[in-house]
Amino acid sequence: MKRRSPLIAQALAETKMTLRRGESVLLAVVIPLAALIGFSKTSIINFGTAKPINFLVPGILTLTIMSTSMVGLSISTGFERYYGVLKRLGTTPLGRGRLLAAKALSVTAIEILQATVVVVAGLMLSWRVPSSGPLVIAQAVAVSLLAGIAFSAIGLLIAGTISAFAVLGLSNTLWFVMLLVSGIVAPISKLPQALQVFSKLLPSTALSQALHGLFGGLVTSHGSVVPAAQSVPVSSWLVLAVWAAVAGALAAWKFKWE
Amino acid sequence: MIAVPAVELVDLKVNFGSIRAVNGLSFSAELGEVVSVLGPNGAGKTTTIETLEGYRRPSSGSARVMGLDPVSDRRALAPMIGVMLQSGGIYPSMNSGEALRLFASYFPDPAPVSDIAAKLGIDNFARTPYRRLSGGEQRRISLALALVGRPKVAFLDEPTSGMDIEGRLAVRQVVSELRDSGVCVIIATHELSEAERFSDRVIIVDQGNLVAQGPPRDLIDESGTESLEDLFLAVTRREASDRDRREKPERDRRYKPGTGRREKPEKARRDTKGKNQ
Repeated sequence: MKRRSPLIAQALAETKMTLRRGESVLLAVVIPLAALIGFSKTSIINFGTAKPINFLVPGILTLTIMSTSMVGLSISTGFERYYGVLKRLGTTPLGRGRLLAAKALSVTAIEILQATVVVVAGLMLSWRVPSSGPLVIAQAVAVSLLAGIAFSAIGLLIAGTISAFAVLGLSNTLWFVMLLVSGIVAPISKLPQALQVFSKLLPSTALSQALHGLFGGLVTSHGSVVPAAQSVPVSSWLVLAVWAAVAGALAAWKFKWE
Repeated sequence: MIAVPAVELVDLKVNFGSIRAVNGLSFSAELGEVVSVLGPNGAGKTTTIETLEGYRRPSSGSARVMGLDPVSDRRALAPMIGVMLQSGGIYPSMNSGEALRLFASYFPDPAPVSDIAAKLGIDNFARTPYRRLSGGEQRRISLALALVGRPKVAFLDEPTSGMDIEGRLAVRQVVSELRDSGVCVIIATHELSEAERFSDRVIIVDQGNLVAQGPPRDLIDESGTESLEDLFLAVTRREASDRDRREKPERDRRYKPGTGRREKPEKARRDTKGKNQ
């Protein structure tokens, strides 16, 4: 039998273990799907668009990337540190570089799975992509990848610097705050002015604004609907790049393997 | 080509802040040799072994494994060593079969997973998640993972801890086979009778200091004791009593509990008592 490379074997193992954990599946698939279906079928929130689903799909895609890259990764890595797994792997030929690469591959694979589920569910709930085209899709993939890097860097920074149980609390709190203030399930125009300024500095807002722009339903601070954009706003690229660079550098500097 | 020892420590000192965990330890071990590092809790056994595994940098002195620096030559050394940690180190949701296959994939020439599983008797619970296993079963898996890469040097921290007699026999057999196949095995343990049985040499450390080393039988005979346990108690108590003598003046200046005042030295107290009489 042909042997798998250490990187592929590790990435497959990471993916399998994530899908095996009930709480990961809840976070990765059940909550996003419930939010998508629940908010599109009720009128709890005024989305400012003719069809709530047009606002919800890009928002829920943001939520899935944030959940898997930041919350899922930080909690699993934090507990791997707690259980001595990272320490144990440190003396094997796998090495830290390949371990991180395997985690990145695993997170990406799960996000592709999540995006597929959300898009299919969205289409079933009569979501129509307003401005599709290869360039739009390519930009959506690129900005999602950059956001994935930024969220993963934040996740690893949290996982590598505080205790596993504190990781659990902090990651979930950040997730909840970002869910509420980043234009994911409610337009940021509904937030108080001061909170809007804070919100625009968050990676979750940068991604949700970018995906809302590309896939339609971008709501301005005045509550009007902007037609689907053909490109990602520069501010989104900038905010995500800064988060990726700063959190990544801090994680590389401060990460404790045991 | 000059043959280098499989493991070599020269005047190793390891500090944790102001605490010295290892205080000038020197020893070496060859391929095909089984060396047990013994000592009371907090003696510096695990710190010494973790320095050889590359987890800690020496504060001074040097550590070499197969002639390589465990920290700076980590990448070159990793395929040559097998590590069994004192506890944990395995994904809790993974079963032993998955863990063995995953660890085997890290190494260029791994041992057949089924052979190791059979040898350590882990076939029976190969599909049970690690977190649901007993302590002894978890130790067997940890040992299997240390050996799956066919190491030249194996570091085993408390390999028989929590194991039933069957597990201990399996470990003894495995260690004996490793020796025969030319592997250097370094064991940290509290199990003195086990160490006496399977070690070519023992190193006894206390408070980070080397207090005795040599083949267990020779040490027992030279000391006039009857077993390794007696010898261990003799040398670690002697060390403790020497230390007590060295630290006595300092202890005599200790604070009286609950008073915030220094106690008078014992001699001074006796003198005062005499004067008062």
